[in-house]
Amino acid sequence: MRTRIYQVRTWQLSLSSAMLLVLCAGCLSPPPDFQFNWVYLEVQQRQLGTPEEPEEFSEKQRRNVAEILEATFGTPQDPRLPGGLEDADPQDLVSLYGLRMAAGAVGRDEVTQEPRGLFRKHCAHCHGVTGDGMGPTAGFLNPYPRDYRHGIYKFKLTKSTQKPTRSDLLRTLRQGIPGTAMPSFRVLPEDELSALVDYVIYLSLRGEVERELISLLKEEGALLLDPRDKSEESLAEVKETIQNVLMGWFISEPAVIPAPPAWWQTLNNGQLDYSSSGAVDVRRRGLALFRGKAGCISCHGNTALGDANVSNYDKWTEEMVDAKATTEEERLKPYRTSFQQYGALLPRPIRPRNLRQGVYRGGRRPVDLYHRISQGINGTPMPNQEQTLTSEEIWSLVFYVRSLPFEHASRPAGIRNLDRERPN
Amino acid sequence: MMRGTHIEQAGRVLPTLVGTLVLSLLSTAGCARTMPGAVEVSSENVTLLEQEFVLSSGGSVTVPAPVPEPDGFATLRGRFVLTGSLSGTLAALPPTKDLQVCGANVIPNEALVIGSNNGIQNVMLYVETREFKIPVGDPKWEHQEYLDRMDAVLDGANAFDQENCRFISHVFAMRASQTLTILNSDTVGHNTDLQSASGLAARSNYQVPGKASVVYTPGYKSRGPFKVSCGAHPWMNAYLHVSAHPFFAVSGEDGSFEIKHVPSGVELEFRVWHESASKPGNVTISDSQAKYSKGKLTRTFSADEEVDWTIEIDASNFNHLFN
Repeated sequence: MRTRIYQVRTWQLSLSSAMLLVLCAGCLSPPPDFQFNWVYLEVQQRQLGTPEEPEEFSEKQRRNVAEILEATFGTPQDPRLPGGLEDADPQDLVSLYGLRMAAGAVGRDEVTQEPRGLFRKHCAHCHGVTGDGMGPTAGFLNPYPRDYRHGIYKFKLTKSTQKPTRSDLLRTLRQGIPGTAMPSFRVLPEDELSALVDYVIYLSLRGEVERELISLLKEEGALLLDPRDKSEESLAEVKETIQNVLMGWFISEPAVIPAPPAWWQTLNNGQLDYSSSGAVDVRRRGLALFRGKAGCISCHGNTALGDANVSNYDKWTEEMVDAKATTEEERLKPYRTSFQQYGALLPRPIRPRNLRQGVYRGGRRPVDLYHRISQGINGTPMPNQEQTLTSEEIWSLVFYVRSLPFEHASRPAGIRNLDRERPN
Repeated sequence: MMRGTHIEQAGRVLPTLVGTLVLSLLSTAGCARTMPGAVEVSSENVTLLEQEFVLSSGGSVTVPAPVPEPDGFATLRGRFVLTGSLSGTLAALPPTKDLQVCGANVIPNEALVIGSNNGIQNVMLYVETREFKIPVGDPKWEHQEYLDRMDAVLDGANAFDQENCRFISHVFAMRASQTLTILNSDTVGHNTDLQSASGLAARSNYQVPGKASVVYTPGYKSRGPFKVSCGAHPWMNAYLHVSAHPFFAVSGEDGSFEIKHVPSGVELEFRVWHESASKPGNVTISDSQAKYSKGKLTRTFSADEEVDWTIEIDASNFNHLFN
């Protein structure tokens, strides 16, 4: 009898483990294929119809978009770049050599021993094979990994309307992003870092083109570019779309950052003492701007703890929420009804930075902070103030912001009297 | 004896089975995200398409479609009128911040504004041709009046203003080559966020301090009207359309609009756009020569013709606002 029960248990155990294995199979990351941008497709469908009754694009139309993308950008194993464009050659922006190093499965080239699959080795587990910020670990991170497909980047030293330069992306790779899960890749050799930048731009271009193609879809079920009947007009339209996306990347150049005023040098000479009379004077000016003209308090709050406006969403999630609604549950309604089913991560409101922690995602050099204030942070509610603040005013703000971690939030040293004078 | 063993056996099997079930359920917990996956493509189609995008300009360079030539200009005016009855009314928007300024006046919900004589305000009518691109700055297409204002700075009465925590022009249109002054007539700062989601029109997010202004130069057209919002005051919203050519109009308080010097002798395709009905259905137009279907309106004008349209839009397009 004992033996029999034991046998039954073995059978049960093997069944359980088999079941577990089968069930877990669905949990592995999706196959290394580019994922379709279902979320943006739904955004368009809701816009073309109504949110309640979205217009339905046909399966043929979706396939057509995917086919155009594969014809122009290839697959994760075999990336390519679109050619035959009138005014722009993507090879001037992205090197095919770099793409080959970053694409495909992790390993080395059999002949040359050059590395392969760098993106999957270092990036894809968070950013996803598609660069959609939906890799297997994405859901566990806060903030979520960046979705490259919008072509919007926060930390760059170009004008607010421009894309980042290669060196901006390279800086992010080297420094990592403090306060987030993005680590520093400083230890990688130069050519591998460069290959990763190539690949990030490539995924970004592909993702932006995908969004643009989806927004070209028409309700009548018409194909964007019929492979068997390529009309001049539709070919020209698709090519123009790709070219427009490319042009955005070609025109970016570093913004000019004016040198700090004389007081900056004096105060930063030797040991910086934020309670010295000169420093208190600059901080006073900074605080007045912070609470007045520059409008920082409307999000970062009176005490700069980042607690004033905590219900905004960033550009990567905004299209999935109803920003105008007054409660969080209502704001998330579009996500729950239309986007969750496509695996989109739960949109989280974007938190204004707590400026008393001294952790700056885009870098802590004065020039980084200057640029964040002057050009804003793309994709977030942080605005650009280049036209409304003078360079001297921005430097005062930088000085003030850098002093914040050194003072007690409830006892602002030396400038306490300003609390009573603060404009409403 | 035998029966007893069976019961004993079942007593041991049951917890194991329940355990397995619980374990399997737990193992799926991490799987909450459903991934719809890739879209199947036909490799044959991909190969056919690839031929057009061969690298190093080996591909056939497309010849742009010939652009037709207009033979003069016509004048287009009209009114957008609501027919049928709406199933509700829109409640005013509740300001939640800067109440001393924003709470002083009622902030209307402008998702639908019906003015005098049932006119629909804030409907945009703009030309968007698919077959060819309207040449910009070509005197055959653009009347001198438009050419003179091609790179104008829109300020003063033409500026994009915000007052009482509300965008005064809820729907606004401009040319890509023009510069827009964004005014803030309030004493509180606004955070004017122009984010064209699609197209190349510049995206920018400006801090506009009280009683100050900034300028916005889009540089390139947008793909249809896009949202303008205020990061500081979440209820504030407006729409901006950036067009390469000057053939657009936004209906006024009584639903009336006018587009002067519309090119004649060429078939023009117009878009009828409203923020709550981007492609209104159930539309009738008082002009048998104009063809309308799902937000698209086509008509060929003759030189010096004066056209006056009454465009009736049925209330059923807007009733989703009142659910």
